[in-house]
Amino acid sequence: MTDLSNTTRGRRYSFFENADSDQLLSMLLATLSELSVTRERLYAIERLAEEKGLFTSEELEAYKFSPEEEDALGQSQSDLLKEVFYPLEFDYRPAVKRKSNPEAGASAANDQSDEQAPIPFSWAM
Amino acid sequence: MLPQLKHDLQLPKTRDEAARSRFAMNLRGYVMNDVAQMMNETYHEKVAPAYKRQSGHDVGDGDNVHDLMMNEQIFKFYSSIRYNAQEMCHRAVIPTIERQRDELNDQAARLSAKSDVGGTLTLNPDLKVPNYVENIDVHLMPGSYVTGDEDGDARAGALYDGAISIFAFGQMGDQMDDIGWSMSKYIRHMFPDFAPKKILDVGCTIGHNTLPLAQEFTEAEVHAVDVAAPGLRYAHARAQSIGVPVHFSQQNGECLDFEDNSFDLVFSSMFLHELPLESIKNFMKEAHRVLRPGGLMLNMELPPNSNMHAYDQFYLDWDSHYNNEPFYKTFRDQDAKALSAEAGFDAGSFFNAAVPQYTLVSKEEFIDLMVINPDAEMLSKTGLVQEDTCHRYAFGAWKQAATAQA
Repeated sequence: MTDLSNTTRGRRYSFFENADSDQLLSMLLATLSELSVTRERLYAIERLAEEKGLFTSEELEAYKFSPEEEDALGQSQSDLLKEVFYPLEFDYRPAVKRKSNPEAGASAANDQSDEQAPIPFSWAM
Repeated sequence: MLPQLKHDLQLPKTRDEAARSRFAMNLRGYVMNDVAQMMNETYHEKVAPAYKRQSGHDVGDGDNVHDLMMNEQIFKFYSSIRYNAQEMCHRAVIPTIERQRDELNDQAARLSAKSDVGGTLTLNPDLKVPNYVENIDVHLMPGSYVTGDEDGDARAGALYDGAISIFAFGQMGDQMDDIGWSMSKYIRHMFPDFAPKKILDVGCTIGHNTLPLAQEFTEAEVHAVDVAAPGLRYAHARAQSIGVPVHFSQQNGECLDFEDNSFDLVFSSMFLHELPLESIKNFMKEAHRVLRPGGLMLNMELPPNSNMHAYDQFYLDWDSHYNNEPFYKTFRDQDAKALSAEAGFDAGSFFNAAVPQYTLVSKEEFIDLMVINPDAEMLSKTGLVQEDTCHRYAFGAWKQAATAQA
């Protein structure tokens, strides 16, 4: 079964003089969406904990993550970044998934590989 | 409150999926109410007066307003936020569907197989889906209505149902069927002697506005057609779940399979503005052909530009420019009476309608708020969100030999 596409065919519209501003606003809205998601989950957790007398706020502050939890949280943050930076994902990483896009152009049509070119690691902080 | 679909195709959302849906809904509510109001005030208090001072005359039409507003910061923010909110309505529900796609399609198959409701589904794999459906991600819905057109796949229907429930932010009723109810009750109230025995809904998508026709006119045999199989699979299963018998079939409204003179009512809702002009004309000719003499064609649609102030023209035509609705403005620029007459309908029987939202007001208010003289009140009422209701626009005409009923 084919996957439902998560993006529309064709270009995304820009409304500001500089399309970068549209991209930044999209990222801000995606961030707000994910912040709302987190707030809802946190609210539910804290209410449940309070109702059941499970833990105090001091215990919450003192909790340490295991290495596996650190990895899972790292993956979750990578997913979050993809969602927030969706406009960049749309513009720069859709080539294979959106082959049917009539405006994707020759470079997309020629790029049939999922493999990514190696990217130099930046040591600068 | 986040709407819950009230039928057996509803897919459970995780807490995070529900939160994303709620955010998309509230973002749409914010931009369509608050930011839209800021833009409206900017135009009326600043842009239009400045234009008049400089040019000596009022702004002409919606296109002129668009040209002026494109330079305004508030238009850019309104447009960009609204565009993102529209994308989010779909992006919020796609993971829910994909996570449960096998369960969805199995459930659709189970519901379709129920024999106690009386509805049917007839698909035509050989039907050529028109370009204007297949190749345009209409209203920014990824894949349009046809993604995943494998046998048994109903996901595009689920995408439409889930997204529109967020999109509507409570303005379309519990079952997203307010248009269908409003129009059914309008027909009942305005034409009390009209008792259709056979009804056709063209361009029905998931049948959400078809069902009220069958629920109101319980004696009628109700048919509904669309070109997109995934939506029809979902529509049939949805109708079976709710328990309303409708005969869904995959047909193009431009060349219907039905016989001449076979229906009493041909209905459409939010359909014509998705079609190129030639296709609208073809549909109307088909509507005229399949209607019995004395039958009614009724189309619920976006209000015509000719009946709106320049700013409201501009405001509604936003979708045509930026929401992948390329035929929206072309339709709104048409003269519906002339189109109906060209298709063979009796021009003298043509009528405009301005109908309140049936599921959002009381039965008494629905009658009270109904606009009895829509031609005179179109400018002040139709299509505008007002305190008590938003009057939906429709137009209709009778096939000859029935003008007395109108």
